[in-house]
Amino acid sequence: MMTLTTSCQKIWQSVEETSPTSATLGGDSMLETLDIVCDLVIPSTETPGAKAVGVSQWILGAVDNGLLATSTGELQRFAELLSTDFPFLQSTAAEQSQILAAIDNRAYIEHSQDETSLLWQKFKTLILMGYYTSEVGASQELHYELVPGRFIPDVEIKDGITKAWSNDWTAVDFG
Amino acid sequence: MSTQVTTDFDAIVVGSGITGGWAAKELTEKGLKVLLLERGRHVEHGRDYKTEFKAPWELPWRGEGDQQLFKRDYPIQSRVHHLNEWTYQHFVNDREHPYQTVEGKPFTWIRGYQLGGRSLIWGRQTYRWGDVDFRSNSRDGHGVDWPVRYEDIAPWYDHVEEFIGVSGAPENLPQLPDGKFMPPMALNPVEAALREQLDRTYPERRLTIGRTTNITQPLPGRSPCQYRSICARGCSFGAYFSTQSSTLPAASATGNLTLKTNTLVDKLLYDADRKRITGVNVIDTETGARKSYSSKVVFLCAGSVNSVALMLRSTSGTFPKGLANSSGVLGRYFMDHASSLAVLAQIPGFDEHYYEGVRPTGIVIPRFRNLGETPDNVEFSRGYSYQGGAYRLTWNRGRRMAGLGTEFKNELQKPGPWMFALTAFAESIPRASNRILQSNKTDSFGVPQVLFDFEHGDNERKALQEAAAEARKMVELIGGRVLMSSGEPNEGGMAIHEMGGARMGRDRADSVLNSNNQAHDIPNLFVTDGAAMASSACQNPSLTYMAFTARAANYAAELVKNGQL
Ligand SMILES: Cc1cc2nc3c(=O)[nH]c(=O)nc-3n(C[C@H](O)[C@H](O)[C@H](O)COP(=O)(O)OP(=O)(O)OC[C@H]3O[C@@H](n4cnc5c(N)ncnc54)[C@H](O)[C@@H]3O)c2cc1C
Ligand code: SF4
Repeated sequence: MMTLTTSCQKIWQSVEETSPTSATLGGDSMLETLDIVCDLVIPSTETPGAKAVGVSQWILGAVDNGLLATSTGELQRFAELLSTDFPFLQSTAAEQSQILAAIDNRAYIEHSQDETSLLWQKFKTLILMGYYTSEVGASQELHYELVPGRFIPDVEIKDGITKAWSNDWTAVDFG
Repeated sequence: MSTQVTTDFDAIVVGSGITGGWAAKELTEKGLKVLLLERGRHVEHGRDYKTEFKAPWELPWRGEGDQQLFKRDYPIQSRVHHLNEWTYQHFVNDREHPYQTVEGKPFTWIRGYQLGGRSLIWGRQTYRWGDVDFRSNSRDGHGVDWPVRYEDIAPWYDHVEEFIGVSGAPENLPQLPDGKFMPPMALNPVEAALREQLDRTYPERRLTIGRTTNITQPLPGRSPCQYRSICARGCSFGAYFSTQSSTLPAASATGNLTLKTNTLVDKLLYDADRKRITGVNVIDTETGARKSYSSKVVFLCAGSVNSVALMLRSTSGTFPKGLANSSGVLGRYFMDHASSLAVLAQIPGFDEHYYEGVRPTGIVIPRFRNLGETPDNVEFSRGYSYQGGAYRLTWNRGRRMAGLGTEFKNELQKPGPWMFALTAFAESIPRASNRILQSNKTDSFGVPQVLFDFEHGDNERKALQEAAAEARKMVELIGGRVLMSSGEPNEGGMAIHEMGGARMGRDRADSVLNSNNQAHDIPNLFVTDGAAMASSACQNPSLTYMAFTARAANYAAELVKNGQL
């Protein structure tokens, strides 16, 4: 297995040559881990999910660049923590889902401040950022319209078919 | 280009931002030959708004920007959320443009050094100051009395508003006078609900749509707003006021304008015998070459801090403490609104309601404190007002939500709960101790760096404390569940309404400028940006700067034409 630092340097090179989203890592296990986690968070439904749109590669570049004050070391640490009880990559899909669900529960329901929970909050956020700023996430899963040409202040939501606007910058900035 | 050539102009305008553009327009339209000097690069309207139409996925960092670059070159500018991967080229590089602060008194100085200055990136909120604002100093004794009253400036507000285009709703409030408005942008249902509740519970408090220079009707060469709210990238529709969209084309059309970018004004030149400014010394920021230009009159529009700094460094035998500083108050009485996130609340209900389009303005709740003949029963002088608005959360709420998988994804596809955010802006009291100085460090051009000695005071803190408490009460009227609320002022500078330092006044002994923004000491020197402000009100100030600039330019043009300058 390549170490994360080397792999990130490789990514970094390809980032500089092209763009972060087109970076590839072959069969690297970090990427494999991220792919699994990405799809557990945002699976493919009627629209492609986080793995399918390449969020894992984006995260490797973003982490290396220090987005959300995170680092490759933190990502590596999180990958280790995922395998605390049993190697994550060797687990069955059902087990992987249970492992992540338990972590998610600790972080967001129990509001635990342990290392895993804190790291998970960062990486879950990165998965969401990577997905909803991708073309699929922003413009197929959500509604993206750069030049609306109108402001209609009150539109009735028809159940199930009104998508949120991904380019409502106020909502994104203020969260 | 020869470095020896000296060119004669009627007027030199320093800075091409909101005020410089106005000075250039008015002076050229009055027939004066004007040289407009801008230290930053040229930014061509439309063509140079390179990120305007880019989707997040078309940018290398999805809009978040290169964190390493931001850390190295934009550590200060990136404190404001207006800076992102689309817009950072319109902010200064902090590494290249250092400044100093007094220990223990941090100050965030947000700048844009380019053609158009901060007119490209501003929030576009456009408010008149009221009669109460021009009387505030004489009422409570802070600062010196303004040498003008609302009636003096009102026609110039009209003049400016008609030209730049301001959308807004008339409300007939003396503390926030109505202007020449284009049709307002609409309130969304949650904002409308709060407006209604306020009317009922606090008749003296009014919620109205933000008055903004995003136009809702066409103007020559400019299209109405397309509701994108990406203005700071630059807008090729010309739908918000910037130098590029508005004043520069007008000035250029006269044939009287000479524009020089990449030209830093280093010093003003003073002739002690004639008691006049003779011109300016400049540095070509690309080559380092120095030269000078002469003119009959000089307008300082470099932004409050830079105009004051330029005067501080233009010393001479007559003015050893700074140009036109016989009063000794140059640099003092510097202000910036104290701001805080007074409330962020989740609003229950309204689940069936959403909006379409991205409105580039929020709402405003104008000042309601200390407006009567006698002060209100509160622990502070003057007042505060709020800006903000209601919106529905989107995917970003997922970062605080439990959940994984299809259900989680489907939930995030829908618009989330409604939120209401209100930021409070408290009036900044003019204090002699808050000041702009020169540090003993220089920048890469050898120009002394600015040193800030500024802090918010007790009055601002008390006003913001009350603003936060009142904001909580107000959102609770529509069932708001308060998530955040602060009455602690953000760091100095964060309101980006820095002003004062060369205040206007009636008496040359305690002010720098007279009622026409003309230096008491030097009749052909005008300072028309925020430096001239004698008090700060609690409204966004740029419209007032524009009105003073237009007024002073017309006055100066008359003097030049009559041969008095
Ligand atoms: C993000 C943001 C949001 C804002 N929102 C609002 C708002 O909603 N409403 C409001 O009223 N105000 C707002 N402001 C403030 C507003 O931008 C300023 O008040 C306004 O731009 C001041 O105009 P100015 O002409 O004095 O300065 P600027 O617009 O800053 O222009 C000054 C120009 O002078 C140039 N210059 C400086 N020094 C020299 C020199 N020595 N030689 C040559 N050129 C020089 C600069 O490069 C610059 O181009 C906001 C500002 C920011 C940054
Ligand atoms: S919101 Fe309006 S003014 Fe702002 S960029 Fe879009 S069209 Fe231009």
